[in-house]
Amino acid sequence: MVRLKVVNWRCIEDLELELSRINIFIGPNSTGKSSLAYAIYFASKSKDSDPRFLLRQLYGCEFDKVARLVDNIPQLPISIRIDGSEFSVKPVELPKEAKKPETMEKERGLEIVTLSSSPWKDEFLLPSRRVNYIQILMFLPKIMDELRSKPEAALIGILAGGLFELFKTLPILPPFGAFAMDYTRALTGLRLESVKGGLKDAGYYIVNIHPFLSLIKLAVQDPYIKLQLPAELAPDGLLDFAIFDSITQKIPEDSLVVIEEPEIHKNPLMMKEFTEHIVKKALDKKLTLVMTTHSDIPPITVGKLIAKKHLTPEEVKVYYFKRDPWTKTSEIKVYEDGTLESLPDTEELITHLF
Amino acid sequence: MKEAILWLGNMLSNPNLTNHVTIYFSPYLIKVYYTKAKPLLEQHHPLPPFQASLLRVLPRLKMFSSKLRGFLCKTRSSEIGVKLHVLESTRVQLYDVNDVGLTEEEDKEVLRIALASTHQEVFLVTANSHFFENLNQTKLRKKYPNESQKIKIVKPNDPDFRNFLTALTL
Repeated sequence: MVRLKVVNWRCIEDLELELSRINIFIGPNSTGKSSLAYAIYFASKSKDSDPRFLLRQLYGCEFDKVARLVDNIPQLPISIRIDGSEFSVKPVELPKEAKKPETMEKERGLEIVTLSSSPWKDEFLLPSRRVNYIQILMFLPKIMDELRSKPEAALIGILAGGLFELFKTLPILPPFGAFAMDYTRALTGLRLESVKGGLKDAGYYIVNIHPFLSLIKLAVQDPYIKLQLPAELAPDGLLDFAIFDSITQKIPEDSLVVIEEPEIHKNPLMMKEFTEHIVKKALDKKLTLVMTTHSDIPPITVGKLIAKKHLTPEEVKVYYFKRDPWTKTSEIKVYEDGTLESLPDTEELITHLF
Repeated sequence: MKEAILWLGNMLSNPNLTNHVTIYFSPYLIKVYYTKAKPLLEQHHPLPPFQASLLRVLPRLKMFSSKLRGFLCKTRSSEIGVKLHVLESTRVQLYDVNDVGLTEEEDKEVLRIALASTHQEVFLVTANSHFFENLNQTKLRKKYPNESQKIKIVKPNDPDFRNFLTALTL
């Protein structure tokens, strides 16, 4: 059980909850599910990487945009406390003589304190657009392969290196950067974020990184026709299985995996299969799984796994999110017979459908 | 009788019935509807609004009543007028109706739900002849005097029942 307290992070004013092995955040859009999931990922990951760089990869912005905004004024300090260890961003007051009213706001520095320890060895993020991102990652080496066979290969190699360097440093399609780094690290053990340098190094970098990327050959086993499909031909729902499998194959035990919307690109039956799959994998590898979802199928499927004794109710936490005007959560109890206490919006659905 | 069922289906979808009529279910009865009534209802088109709504929500009703505890024992309003209430299995099982003449398990469950419902006036509307021919009402009244007193077993074309419903919609 991990205790968590988040203050002034996006739409979260002050939130305190407990995390277990399998955690499900359910609720309507824009209620802070992903914000909280990213906060956990970010705080834990910032212990061994530059927080500003990581934040740009996640949100494409600085701390003043990620802090809770009241009348467009960022509320500081930001604090994310995980099991007694705290990540915080506080304003640093400049000496009095340096204060000039018109420039003060710009010059105000931020003191960033990262976590001293984290309950997780490593952190991996699977954002809701992961299938699109993996397609970018898949096609990039192919395009580069084509380019390399041309006479102007050296120049193009550098350009392609520059392109990848851009992905790494600029907030293009956040959180693509965070996903690309996590994915490469999961597959190859290589930390992209630790490779530093400008365009000059990019050519060298791409020559080194390219063979690794070529190794990323996803194959999807179609469960219905028992056929191996190359990833580019596979339907998006099946591709998601392959992405999760390839990421979790080599990652260390006791890692944190944040998966946004496991139901995406899938029909209800497949949602159930995928939820079972990721939960069983998480139990095998002793991972901590954080899922955000709009669907009632993941929590009900997890309930079913409890009924089948794959899990105990203590290993599962389900939180319902709503905004009023800041994020509020309520815990939904899960019982040993696999039933859940209640899911407010899915019950309301009956009222509206009837 | 078919006309009476059609009339009832139209009547129960009247928005004026809001706060007046509650339909009671139990998880077992929902399962029976799902396995037996749903395939039959699906063969008919068009269905009256009430039956069409029931058919539409049955899969989710079945899922929620077996998986979500908070769904049970709460009266929920619906957009067509009537309210829904799914009783908890243990509450329904409190009533033993094995010795009052009914033989079918589904009939017994319907009677148990009627006995377990909390309203002062309960109509058990059925086109099933078992309730009129086999049910030993005297024995039932002796066994559960308070609960059975409020239950009126009627056919869908019963004039008193029709008048009662019509009066509610005015």
